[in-house]
Amino acid sequence: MWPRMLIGFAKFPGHSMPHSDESPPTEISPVYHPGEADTAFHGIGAHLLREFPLIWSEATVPPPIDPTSPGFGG
Amino acid sequence: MRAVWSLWTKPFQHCEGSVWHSQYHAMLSWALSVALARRHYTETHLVTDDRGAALLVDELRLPFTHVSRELNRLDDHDADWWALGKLYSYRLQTEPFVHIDGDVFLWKPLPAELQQSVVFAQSPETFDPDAKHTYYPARAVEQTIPWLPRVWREYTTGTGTRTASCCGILGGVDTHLIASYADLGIRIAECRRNRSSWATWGNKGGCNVLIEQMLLDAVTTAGGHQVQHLFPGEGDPYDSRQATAAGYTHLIGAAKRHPQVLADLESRVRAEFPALAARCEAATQRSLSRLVS
Repeated sequence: MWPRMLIGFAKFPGHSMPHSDESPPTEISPVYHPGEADTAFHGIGAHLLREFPLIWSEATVPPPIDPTSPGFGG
Repeated sequence: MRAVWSLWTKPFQHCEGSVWHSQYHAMLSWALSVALARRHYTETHLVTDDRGAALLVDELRLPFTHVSRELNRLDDHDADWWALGKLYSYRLQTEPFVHIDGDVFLWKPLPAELQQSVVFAQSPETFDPDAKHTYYPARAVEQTIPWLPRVWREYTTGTGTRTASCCGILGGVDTHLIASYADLGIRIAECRRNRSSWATWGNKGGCNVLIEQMLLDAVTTAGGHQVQHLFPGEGDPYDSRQATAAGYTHLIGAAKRHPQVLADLESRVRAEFPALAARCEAATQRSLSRLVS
């Protein structure tokens, strides 16, 4: 198991971000999608990691990059 | 059209933004994002800082054709502003481009028509700035931050819903318009007049989406254009059939910590790009060694 990093801000459109009604907030709590709790949230098109067929041909195999070319590492 | 990625390492190190289960999985994602997009774009640019170049170029040897260290300029910036690295990268572009987040995988080329748009992004999002709870805290910012550009005020004045654009991808042919928008976003974060007010915000997480995603729609609309989207409807990307049709993956939020998704990510990189997978593993081991030595 790789070391777990801290859980930070997670976004999902349209979900609430609680704050006080009394005064303008100067701190916004992280918004978590409900799926966070049961790890049901898969993001967008994550199934394609398993399912999308990649067809390799000469057209899809780019030429190697010359690391000495102008711009590289610039 | 060139493909552009950006990595500002300070938020990454401070775990700002949405955070990966491990550095290893973050590296696998970067590797897959660049390796897949390189099938569609011959020009692949990275905008980063010295630490990002050391990781992505020197250690992982990802296939970038051009590397800029422009983000060294952000060394003394607050890591809360994780969108700044992206905005600096957008502002730098002088030719039609698409910026691709490191957690986005383009299994197919983007539609040609989309790439010819003035400005395009992933998908629209709607919000009501006057809603009690909103992901886009525009009113709270307006009440506390002294300088905001007129285009912001004009966009949020009045009632009703507004649109923003999810920026898993962002690009277009009007680089002048995009640079203007990015510059305004940067100025909101950096403006001297705003400094003391921003300092009172404990967590500026939600402000990032205002200066990146809301401001994009505000500036584009003010310029007489509309942001075009890969997914025209707000809910479209979350429909697996539409994601399949677009050949598009974006591991937003909690997907970065989902065990099955991460297992699938690792399997795919190992199967398609075994040399890259091996370098991700070796880089992680070196990183762990440095931690314990």
